[in-house]
Amino acid sequence: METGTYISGLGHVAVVGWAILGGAMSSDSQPPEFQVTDISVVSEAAFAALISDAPLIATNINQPSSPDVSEAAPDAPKAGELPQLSSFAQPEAPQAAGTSPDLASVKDSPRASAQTDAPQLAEQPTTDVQGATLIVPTAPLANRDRNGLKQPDQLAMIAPEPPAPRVDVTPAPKPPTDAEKAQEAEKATTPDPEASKPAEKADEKAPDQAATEIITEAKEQEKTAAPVRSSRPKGRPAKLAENSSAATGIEQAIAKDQAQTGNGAGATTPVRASVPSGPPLSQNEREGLRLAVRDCWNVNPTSDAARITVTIAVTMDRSGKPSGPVQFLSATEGSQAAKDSAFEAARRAVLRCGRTGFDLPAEKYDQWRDIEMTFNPEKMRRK
Amino acid sequence: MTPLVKLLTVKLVAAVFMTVTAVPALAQTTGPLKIEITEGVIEPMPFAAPAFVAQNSNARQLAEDLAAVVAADLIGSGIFREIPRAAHISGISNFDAPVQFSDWKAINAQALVTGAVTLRSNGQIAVKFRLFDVFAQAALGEGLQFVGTKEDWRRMAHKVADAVYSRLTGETGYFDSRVVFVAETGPKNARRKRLAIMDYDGANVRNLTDDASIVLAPRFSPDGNKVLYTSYETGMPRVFVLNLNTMRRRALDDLPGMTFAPRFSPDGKTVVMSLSEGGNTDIYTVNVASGKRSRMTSSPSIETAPSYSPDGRQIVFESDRAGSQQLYIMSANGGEARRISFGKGRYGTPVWSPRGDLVAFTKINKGRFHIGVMRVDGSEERLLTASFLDEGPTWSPNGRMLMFFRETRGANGAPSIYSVDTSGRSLKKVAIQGFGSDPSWSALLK
Amino acid sequence: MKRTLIGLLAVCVLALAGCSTGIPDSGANAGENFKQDSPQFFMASVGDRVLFAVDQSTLGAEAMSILDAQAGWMMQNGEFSAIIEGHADEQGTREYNLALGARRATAVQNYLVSKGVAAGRLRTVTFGKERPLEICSTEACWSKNRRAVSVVSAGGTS
Repeated sequence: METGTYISGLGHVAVVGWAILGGAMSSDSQPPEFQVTDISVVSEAAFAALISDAPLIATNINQPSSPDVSEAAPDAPKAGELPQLSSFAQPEAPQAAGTSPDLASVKDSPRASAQTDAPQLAEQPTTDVQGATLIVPTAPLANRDRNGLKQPDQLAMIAPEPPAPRVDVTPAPKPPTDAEKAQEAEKATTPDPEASKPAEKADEKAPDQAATEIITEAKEQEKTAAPVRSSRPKGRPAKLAENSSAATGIEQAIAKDQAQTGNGAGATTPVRASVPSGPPLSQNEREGLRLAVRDCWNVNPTSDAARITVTIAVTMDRSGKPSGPVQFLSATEGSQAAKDSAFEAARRAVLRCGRTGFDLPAEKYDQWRDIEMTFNPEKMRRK
Repeated sequence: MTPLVKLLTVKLVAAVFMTVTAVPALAQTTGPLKIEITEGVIEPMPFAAPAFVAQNSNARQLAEDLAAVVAADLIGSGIFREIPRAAHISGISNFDAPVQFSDWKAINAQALVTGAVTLRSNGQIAVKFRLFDVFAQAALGEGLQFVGTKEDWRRMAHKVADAVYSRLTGETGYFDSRVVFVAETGPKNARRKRLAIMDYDGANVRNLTDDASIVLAPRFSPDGNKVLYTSYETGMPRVFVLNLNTMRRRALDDLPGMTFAPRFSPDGKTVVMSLSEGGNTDIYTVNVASGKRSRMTSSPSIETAPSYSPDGRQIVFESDRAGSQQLYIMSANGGEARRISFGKGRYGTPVWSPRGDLVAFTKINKGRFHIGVMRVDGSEERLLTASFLDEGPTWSPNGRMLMFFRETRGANGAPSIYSVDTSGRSLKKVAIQGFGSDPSWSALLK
Repeated sequence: MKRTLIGLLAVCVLALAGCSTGIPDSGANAGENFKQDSPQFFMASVGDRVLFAVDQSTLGAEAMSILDAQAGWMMQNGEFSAIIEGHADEQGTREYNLALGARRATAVQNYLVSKGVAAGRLRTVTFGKERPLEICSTEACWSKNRRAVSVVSAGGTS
C-alpha cells in the first residue's frame, strides 16, 4: 500500500463532507457585480454636436510629443481641402496636394531602406553585390535628415523585424514575454510534406537581378531572418537583363528621363494604341514581371479573400511604374467585402513592387503599357 | 526563425519554382499584356497606428492608449504587423489634415490607422478613426465614430480594430468580445477554481463566482447573457446556468446522476450535455425553459463533449465506442453517427466553428497534446500547437482564431490561456494575472 | 493484524513530511490504534482505494482483493455508507476524464454490490483529473492518481 493515501483519505472525508454539508450552502454567497455597458455608434450630426459641445483646444497646442510633426505641418494643404468624415472616400484634392512629396518618396523611400540593407547584402554571398551598389545613393539620406528622421530610428525599425510570417516576436509591445512567445512559437507545428524540398533549385533558376530589385520590408525580412527565402528568385534571369540593358541602355535612360521630367502628363495618360506594335515580351520578361509582383502580393491564406481570383488593369508609364489608378476588372464568386479585400491586396502588390518601376524592356513599351493582371490565390489558400 | 516559418517558406519557394516552370507564356499579339500571378507571400501586413489625436489636452493619454490597443489587437490576429512608432517619420497631429502618404510609404506601412479622441466634461469620450491604404493613397471604407463612457475606452479601441480588420480582410473581426474562463489558484493538488470573465485580450478580469467548490468549463450562450458551467456545489458535477445580468444561477435540471460538458444550441433554447449514470456517459439535450430532456446516444461507451453545428442541425462529439476517443457527427435529433477522425492518437473536445467549415479539437498522441482543426468531413487535419498539455479550444466569433489552455508539466504545473489562428501562425499567451483554464469565447458584443 | 497496522502507520507518519496533499491529517497523529468500526481503520487497515491502468476501468487482482476487504468491512459495519470517488490522471481531456472517473467509481460500486454490499449504501462521484493526489508529471504519480477511493461515513449516502 502506498503512503500518503491514509492522510488524504481522511482529508477526503472532510472535503466531501464539507462539500455536501457546507459547500452546498454557498449559493447565497455574493459574487461581484458585473455590468455590461453599451457603446453607441452615433451619427455624424450627433457626433459633431458632441464634439462642439466639448471645449476644444486648438490642435496645434495639442501637438503630440513627436517632434516630426512640426516638420510635416508646413506641407499640409489648407483646411478647405479636407475630406469630410461622412463622405469618407478620400477625394482627389489631398492627393493632388501631396503630389510632389509623394513623387519624392517613390524615388527615395526604397533607396532609403536599401541604405541600411547594404551591409546585410554584403554578408549574403548569394546576393548580387551589384544590387547593393545600384540601389544605394547618398541623396536620400540627406533627404531623410531634413525630415528629422534619425538614423538610429531607421535602424531600430529595420533591425528587429521578425522573421515572416510570425507575429509573436514583433519587437513592439511586451518585451518580457517575447522570449516566452518565441519559445512557444517553437512548439507550433504544421506537418508539411514539402518541408524537405531544397530551395536551391529556385536560386539556380533565377539569380538575383539588380535592376528589378525593390527593397521592401518584406525582403528585409527575407535577408535578415530567413535564409531560405533570401534565395528565392527575384526579377529576371541575369543573362537576359544584361542583354537587354546592353542593347537598350540609352533608350531606357531616355525613357526614364522623359517619365520623370516634362513628359509626366503624357506618361500618365498615354494614347492607347489598339494594337501594340513591336515584338511581344519574351517568356523570361513576362516571368520577371510576374515574380516582381508576386513578391508584394501578400495573401492571407485562411481568408475568404483567398478564395477569390481577381483581375485588375494597370497602365504603366515608360519607366515601368504604374501610372494612374489601378482598376478593378473582375472577380470570382464571393462576398463584396472579400472581393474588395482581394482587389486591394492585388492593388498593393502592383503599387508597392512597382513604385521604382518594373524592369521591362523599354523598346517594347507598347506591349506592356496596358497590363491585365490576374491574381489567382488557389495555390496559396488554406481553407 | 521557427521551424514552422521554415516549412511555410520552403513550401512557398518550391511551389513558386514549379509554377514558373509549368506555366508557359502565351504569345502576346494584341490588347493589354496579360499576366497571371499564382503565388504570393504569406506574411503579416505592416501597418502604422500613430497615437490618436487628442482633441483636448486631458485626452492625451487616452489618445496614446487607444492607438496602442488597436495595434495590439491587429498584431494579435497574426495577419498584421505594426511598424513601431519609433520608426515613424511623422505623427498625425490633425485628424482632418490630408495624410502625408510619402512618410508612411517610406517606412513601408501599407495601412494607416488614424484617430482622434475627445474627452468630454461629463466623462464621456468620443472616438473617431479613418483607415488608409498607403500605397493607393486612398481611404478605405468609411470612418467610424463611437461615443461611450471613459471606462469603456478599451471597448472603443476594440471596435476600431474590428472595423479595421473587417475592412482589410473582408471578414468580421473578433476584438470586441469577452471570454469566460476558470481562474485557478493554489497548489496543483488543492486547486481552487472560480468562474471569471475578461475582455478577449485579458483585460478587465472580473470574478463571477467564489471558489468554494470546483467549477469547470463555462460556456457562453449565443446572446452572451448566460453562462453554462459544471459545478460541484452539490458534491457532484452538475450543470448550472448563470445569468450574467442578474448574477443568479440555478441547476439546469434535476436529472439523477452527474451532468457535465454542456453547450448551448445556436438558438440558445437547448443545451446539449453529458449525463453520467451507472458509469455510462451519454449525450442528452435539455430544453432550457421546460427542462424537458431527450437522450441522444445510448451505448455503453463514453459519449461526451458535444457541440452544435452553427445551423443547429448536427452535433459533433467524442466517443470511445471504437476503442479510443474519436470524433463523431450525428444529427441534432440523434441517431446514427459517423466518425470523422482517423489520424493517429486520441481526439477529444470537438468544437464546431461558427463559420461551419471546421471542427477544432484536442488531440493526444504519443504523450503530447495538440490543438488542431479539421474539415467537417474529417479531411485536412491540421495541428496548430503541441505541448505537454494543450486542451479545450474555443472559437473566436469570426471563426479565425482559437483560444485554449496550456498546462505546464510537473509539480508546479499550471494552466494559462493561449490564442492561435487557424493557420498556426500566431500563437500568443493571453496576458492575465494568475492561472486560467477552460476559456469560452463570446460572440461579438453589440 | 496489529503488526501490520503499526507498520502501515509508521509508513504513514514517515510520509507526513513529504505528504503534499495539504489535507488535515487527523488520523495519523491520533494514535497507533483505531477502532475497528472507524473510517480511519477502514482507510488505514482495510485499504480505501484501488488503482487502474491507463484509460482503463477494469479491476485487477490486487484491486479485487482490496475490494474484498472493503466489502467485508462494509458488511460488518452496516451503519456506514460509502461514496466512491473515481479519479483520472492528467493525461486526458477534462470531459473524458470525468466520464472515465465515473466508470472507475462504478466498477468499484458494482464489485462491492456483487460481494453483498447493499447498493443503497454506495454512491459514486467522479472528479476526473480535478483532484490529483500526486502532482509530478510522470507515470510514478499518474499511476497513483488513476484511482477509485471509497470514502466511508456513518449514515446515508446523501
